[in-house]
Amino acid sequence: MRIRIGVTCFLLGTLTFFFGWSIDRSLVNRSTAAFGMTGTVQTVTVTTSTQAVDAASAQEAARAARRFLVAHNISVIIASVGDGEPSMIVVDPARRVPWLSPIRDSRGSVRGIYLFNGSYSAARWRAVSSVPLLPSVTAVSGFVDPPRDPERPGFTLQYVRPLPTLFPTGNYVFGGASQSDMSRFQAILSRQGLSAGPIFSTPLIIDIASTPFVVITALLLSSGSVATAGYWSLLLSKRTAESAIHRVYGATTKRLIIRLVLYGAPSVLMGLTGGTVAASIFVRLLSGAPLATSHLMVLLASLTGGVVVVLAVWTGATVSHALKAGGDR
Amino acid sequence: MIRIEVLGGLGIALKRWPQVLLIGGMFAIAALVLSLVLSDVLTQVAVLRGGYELRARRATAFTAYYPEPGKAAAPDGLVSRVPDATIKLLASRVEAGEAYSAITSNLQLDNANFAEGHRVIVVFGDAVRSALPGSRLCRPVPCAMQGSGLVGHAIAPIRFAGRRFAPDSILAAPATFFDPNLAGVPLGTTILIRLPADDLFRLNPIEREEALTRSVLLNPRPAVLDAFVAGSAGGGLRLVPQELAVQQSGRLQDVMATSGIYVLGFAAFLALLTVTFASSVAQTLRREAKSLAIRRLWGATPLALHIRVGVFVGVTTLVVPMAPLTLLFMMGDPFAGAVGVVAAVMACIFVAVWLSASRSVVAGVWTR
Repeated sequence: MRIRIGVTCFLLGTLTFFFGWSIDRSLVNRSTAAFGMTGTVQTVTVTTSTQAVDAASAQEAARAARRFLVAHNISVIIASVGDGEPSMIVVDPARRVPWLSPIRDSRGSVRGIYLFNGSYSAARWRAVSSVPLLPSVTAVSGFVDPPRDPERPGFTLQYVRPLPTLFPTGNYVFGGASQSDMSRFQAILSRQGLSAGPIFSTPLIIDIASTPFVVITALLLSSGSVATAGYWSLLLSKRTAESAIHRVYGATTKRLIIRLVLYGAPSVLMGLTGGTVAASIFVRLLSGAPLATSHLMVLLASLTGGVVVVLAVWTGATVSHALKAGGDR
Repeated sequence: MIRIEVLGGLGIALKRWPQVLLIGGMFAIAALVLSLVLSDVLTQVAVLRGGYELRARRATAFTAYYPEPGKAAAPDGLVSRVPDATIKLLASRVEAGEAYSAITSNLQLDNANFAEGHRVIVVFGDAVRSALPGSRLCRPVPCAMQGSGLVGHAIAPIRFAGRRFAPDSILAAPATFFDPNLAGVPLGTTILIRLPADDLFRLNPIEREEALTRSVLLNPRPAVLDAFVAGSAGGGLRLVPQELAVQQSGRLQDVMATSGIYVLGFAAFLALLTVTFASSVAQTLRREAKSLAIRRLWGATPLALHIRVGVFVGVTTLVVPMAPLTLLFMMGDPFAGAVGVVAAVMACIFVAVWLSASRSVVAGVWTR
């Protein structure tokens, strides 16, 4: 019986690790979608509005927008979406963008052009000291690690540049902005001739729960646990007679439960550990990613969560068994 | 005799219908979701494999950043003004068979009746073969072909780039154009026009911009790539080069990791469900042991008992899950292939549980 419990726990362990891994993935995706901005973010797509604005008032509006960001400690990342320069602009007075720290000045702005490591432009500057995508640029201030892996699809931005005189169109990611901050900033931008789309701000828990990967692994884990609970109660039902004898010789329900829980606990622990470790090795081999501390964190978290849940399931099975054994007497 | 045994097996299942429905339902849901996941994986892998030849030839494609509205490089609105020297560079590479280009969406935008509304794709260069795996292309260039789904349609000659085209050959089905930015484009009902490289100069500004953004350079020398990128950027069109081999191996790895987790996760879950089911079948049959023993005394053969147990096991593992699987199968590609695999897995589970259950029953009843 111990071996059977161990084997089922091994299988449950792999499911637990996959669940933990899928949550970790969705957190990573959330963070990459926010270009590494920490905390709650709000995303807005900004386009050119149809109303005409004269140059002087546009510049005045841009200055006001800049002052507003610094005064309210709001960080913003502006990423180009399909037009203009393939670049990113970051204003980070509150230090919410960790990857920017090597190149940010004391007021949270970037001075000069910093090429993303791993990008085409960085490789060309290192080789021939020119950037074909920026024919007019002859000086580059340095390099910075990008918030996303440029070798994965979907990230084609090439460099970080300073905020120009006017705010550009693009995908704006705000950090530390309240609802009223957002609407006031939108009003200032509209004076510069820009119009902002709807604000997207998804709470963490909804973001995780709406990821298909997480939903499927959660379903597998929960229905796997149900199946396991059924299997264990069938396994224990073969011991009904034995438990009834213990009863006759004076074992209380509590003692009977403790006895059975302790009987199964080593198998549960060993099976779960084996399953989570095997699954983590499998995932690491498949994804080809180097071993990171986050991987070990996911492993430990899944193992801890798995032990708590599975021991609860095992205890539940023994409790129902012990009550039945009492009834049989 | 067989009918009696089948009915008897159904009877055992009916007597325990909550258990059959619960476990059968779990098998059904698992089989359904596994089919969906598997068909998604198969589609993605097929798309990535379509780009194999382009990867092998070290193709570089581009992601375009178009001119911003109202910027100096684009005086006549939003279209870029890439200098002729850059077009010439592209044309010379296309001529040499080291590049190809295509226009798939922005053809003759101001001519609503172009090609009578049929979808047209224009391609430049012999190297486009790498993006049309398995298709035989018409020659000599210029020429036009039609998708196999257009056979029998009378297509009037198409005027484009100062030429007249009447499609005279057929693209063998299933033809797919592998566009690095669009994945696979099916060509069943498309007209494909091949043009010589010099016709790049005959395009209108919007078509020219698309031809530049969809150009693919095969194993380009760095100097050529830089000149092409710098020339386009000078005209307001910023093209970020993407080496397909690097990009797609990253994507392939992501797809493999996710699908590996799905497949192994489902395998683990099905294993848990199978052991649970097998042990509940064993319990059921223990309760039925007396009636089975009586049947044996009255002359039932081992075969008869096997059939009886098999019907009971089959109701849960095959009949219940087959209902949603059949529906999915009837939806055709891309689900049909995946459903086949999952049905085979369910059949294996059925056989395994059946053998273990009926062996123990037959042994148990006969030794009594």
